[in-house]
Amino acid sequence: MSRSSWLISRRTMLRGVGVSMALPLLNVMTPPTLYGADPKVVPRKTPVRLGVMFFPNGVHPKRWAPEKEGPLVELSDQLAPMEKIKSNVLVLSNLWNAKCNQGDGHYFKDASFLTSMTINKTVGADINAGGISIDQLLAQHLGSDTKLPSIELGMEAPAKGIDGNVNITRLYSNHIAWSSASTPLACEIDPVQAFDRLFREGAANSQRKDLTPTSLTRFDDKSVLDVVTADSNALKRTLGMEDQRKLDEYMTSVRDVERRLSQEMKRAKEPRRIDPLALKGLPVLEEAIRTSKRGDRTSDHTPQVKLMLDIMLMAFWTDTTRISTFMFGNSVSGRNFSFLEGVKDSHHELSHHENKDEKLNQLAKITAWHVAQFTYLVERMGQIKEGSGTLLDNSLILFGSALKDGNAHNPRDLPLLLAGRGGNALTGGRHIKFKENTPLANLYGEIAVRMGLQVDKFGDSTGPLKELA
Amino acid sequence: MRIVSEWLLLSICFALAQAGESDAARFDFGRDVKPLLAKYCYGCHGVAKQKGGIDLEKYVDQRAIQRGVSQWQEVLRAIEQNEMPPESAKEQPTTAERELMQGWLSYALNNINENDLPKDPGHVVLHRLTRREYNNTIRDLLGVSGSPADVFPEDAGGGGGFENNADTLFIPPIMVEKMLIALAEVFGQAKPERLFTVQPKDDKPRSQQDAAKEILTDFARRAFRHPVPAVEIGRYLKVYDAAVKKEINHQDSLKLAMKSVLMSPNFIYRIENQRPFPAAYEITSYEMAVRLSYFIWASMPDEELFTAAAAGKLQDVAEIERQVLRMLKDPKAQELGASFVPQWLKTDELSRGRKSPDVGKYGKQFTESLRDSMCAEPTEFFNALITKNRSVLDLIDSDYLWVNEELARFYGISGVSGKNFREVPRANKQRGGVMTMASVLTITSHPNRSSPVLRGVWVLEEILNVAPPPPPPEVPALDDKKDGDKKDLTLRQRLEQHRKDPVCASCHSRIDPLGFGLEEYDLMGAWRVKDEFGKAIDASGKLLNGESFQGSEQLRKVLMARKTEIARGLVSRLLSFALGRGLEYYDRPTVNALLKQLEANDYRIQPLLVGIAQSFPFRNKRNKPIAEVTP
Repeated sequence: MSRSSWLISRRTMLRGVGVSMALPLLNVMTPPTLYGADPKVVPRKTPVRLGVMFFPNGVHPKRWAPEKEGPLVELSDQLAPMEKIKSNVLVLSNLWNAKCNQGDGHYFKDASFLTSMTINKTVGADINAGGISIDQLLAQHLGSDTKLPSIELGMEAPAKGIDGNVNITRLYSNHIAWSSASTPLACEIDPVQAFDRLFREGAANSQRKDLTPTSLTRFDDKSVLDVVTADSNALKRTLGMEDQRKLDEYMTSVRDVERRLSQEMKRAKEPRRIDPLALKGLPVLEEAIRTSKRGDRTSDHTPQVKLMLDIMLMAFWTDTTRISTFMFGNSVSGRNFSFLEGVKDSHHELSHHENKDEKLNQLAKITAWHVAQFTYLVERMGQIKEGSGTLLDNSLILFGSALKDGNAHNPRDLPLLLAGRGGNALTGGRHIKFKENTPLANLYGEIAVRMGLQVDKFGDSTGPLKELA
Repeated sequence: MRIVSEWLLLSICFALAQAGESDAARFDFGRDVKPLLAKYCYGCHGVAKQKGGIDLEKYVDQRAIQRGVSQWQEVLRAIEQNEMPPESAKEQPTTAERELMQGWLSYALNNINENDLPKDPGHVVLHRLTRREYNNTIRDLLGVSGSPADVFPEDAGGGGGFENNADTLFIPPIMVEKMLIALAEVFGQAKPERLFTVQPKDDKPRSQQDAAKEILTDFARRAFRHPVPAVEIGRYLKVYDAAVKKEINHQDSLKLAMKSVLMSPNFIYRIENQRPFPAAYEITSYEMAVRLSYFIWASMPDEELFTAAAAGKLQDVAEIERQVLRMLKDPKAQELGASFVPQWLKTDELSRGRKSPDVGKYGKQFTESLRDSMCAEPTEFFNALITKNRSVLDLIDSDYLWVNEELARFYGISGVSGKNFREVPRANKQRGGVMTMASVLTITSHPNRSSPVLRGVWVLEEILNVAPPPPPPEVPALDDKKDGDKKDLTLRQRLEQHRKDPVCASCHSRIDPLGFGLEEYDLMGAWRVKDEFGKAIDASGKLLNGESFQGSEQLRKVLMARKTEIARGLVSRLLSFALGRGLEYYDRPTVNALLKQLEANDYRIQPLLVGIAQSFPFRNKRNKPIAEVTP
């Protein structure tokens, strides 16, 4: 690569792999030596699930959190839809993502929402989010016990090309999950595909009415992948460094699938116990998915969102995966929200509210709609028994945006809600005001611990959040 | 590699033009720029100290800096992104000083004598097949219809803005899973006679294993797009043998071996062999066959291309011309327009459902079939341009349209029936060229109203090929607070207010007039005389140079006068698409040469496509960035 070494020394080292010619070839899977000490897995008896619900464009900044700290009494109009679940929710104020406070309005913030690092501004070459995202760090360390280490869900087709306005590839707008600094993970936006991936033995067998979340495994895929590895190794010797890195990306993914296949084979011998109620629920969900209105032109997409959240819920309930992200929309989403009463325009358009009440009121309605979807998932999780508690007790659902105010593109005091008890470790129903400009990454450290991973440093984290306990 | 792209340069150039590029030209390196470098840079990057091995002091004048372009591109980038001087530096340049350095550097680097630019074909990183390319290749290889790759994650795109940009084509684990599943289906559909038939070399009787070997050898040759040595075939044969041993029948065992061929990186990526030295070199005939076929067909080479490659003919420019013209006649060449055009014009935003008029309100009129017709129009138009070898200036304005019945009705044209598109002469000058196409006008509208700003930006970016600089940070859009409560203002009046603010004016005085020129079309591109609020349309505009126009017809005339700029934009985009990478500063001589050739050929498109295939970066590559020219 042509990057001169002075630049490497100053910033790109922080950004990790993906830029260096001078550095030795790094395995892109190598997780987090960049974050200080190696994370340590601290095994848990009952697994904790993590769901991240991301929404673009920010909120009405003045009508979000309650003014006072402490018990959640009265909720703002934007938070009002979560009234019935508020005892399970923490409203978190004053967290921010310092490293994204530059560049442009959206891409820098959204792409690094879960990495707490700085993205590389580029029109295509050297895509880099600065580091692995917290969900993927957890998936790589804790994900081997489930069929999928994680699943990434979304609602919008990816944006393509370059945003000429700010000279950045729109690729950054489509991802919050990064399995390495240079590898964005695509969202599954088709509920049928998402369902099949989680709960079926492969689309090739979609005629089969076998809905047990078992293996993708077939003897042939294993042998096929063996040859791929041999091929890649032979090919690699003939390639230059840049190309080798591209090929490594493929080999890493192949290894990932191989590992999953052999784990599945192992698990097939000792089947897991799945809540019979969950098994009963799967065909019902499948029916709902297959009969739902497909296509992207219905203006009210609430039913599709609910289906995706149901999929996340079933994935957690059946322990098919323990980690999931969900993107309500991509960065700068222009989703048309005129299906909401009193809303006339699209999301991004209204987020540029120009401080006009007329627009802010519409934006608040859009935010409230998002909070209502969050409430839907949290409420359902709270109804599902698990052990002596509920599925929600053994989960953490983080709901938030990477911007506070879409008009000013401000990443301070982010709008964040955290639901669930993370293995009976959190007490909801409170508004916590952290010290101004507390790193969001500190929250990620806290989440990791509750999931069973001790991470000394992540992104720009500075330490634990004592107020959370 | 993150060299400032030509797009970025252009946008800088454009930003500069606001201050007047001549300003930057008036600055003198020795008098104005060098003292700043001495003050802020030489301390760490000069004669005394060369942090990171970088000595900027050795570049003594403008020419030296221009010849050290790759180094100075990085300097420019570092200044722009506030990376340099580092935070820890004793002193930071003032905003004015920063702007002076940036302004002069972009001017200097943008005005390099062609002879001083390095002869560099660029490097295209390992190129994963796009979903489109994967579908087409499977079709041509196995004779199955269907689109197995449609379930893969979508390709995002970058660089020149196209999804075939190699840098932005990833393979996440989910794609490996989905390829395995898709291939199982593909082999289920493929006809045995297509899979298992090869022309035998001789009539000697052979064992099943020998037959398998012959079949796999030929299959791998076509799948990998070059002859495959026996050692490699051995790996796939092993898969076959292992399967046979497990008592899987001959054909299924072969299918399994073929599946492993199609999971090989040699199939999934377009591999070009590397030479162990950094200088530019000409790619092989086989590699050339692959570049040609994916450029024009978005698919693998056919046997004729393979034959030419085997004979080593594809390094010959006359043969390249012959092949390109032949390929353009093949129906598969429709893929060129189908792939290039919606990405260039951004109309894929409409077909992919990312943009749409408010369906609740306009759903009755904006039916799915109307949307499909709208989306097909630019592609049909462009492919006809190729087939008939017409002038690319028709894209700016044309006296004919391509419509089907539904679109004709939407445009108020009678006498066209059926779903198929056909050419009709235009009855009036309401439409012509791409700017007046309904798909374009819809994606540049908001769900509930047309947007002169979005349309203006679109014309600037896609037609005039300049990127307007981003709005300054923290400046809210259209804030009319300062002007008091002016609710009754029309959009035009509000934008005029907006332009009174000098910060906003710098861009909006360029953007808005172009957009107003397209106000005669509503949010779906239908012709109108009144706007959404019942007011009469005012489609007049005045450009910065004082040129004024009235409506889209005159706007197109004004733009036609800038045909060189517009043609340069198209040439750059097509070249970027053909190469699968963003353009760099060293591509400028190629673009200039192609442009000259285009003008000499009356702007006809076929010679342009031939020229691209014959161009230096299309036929050459390098492994690493070439060393900088020492001043």
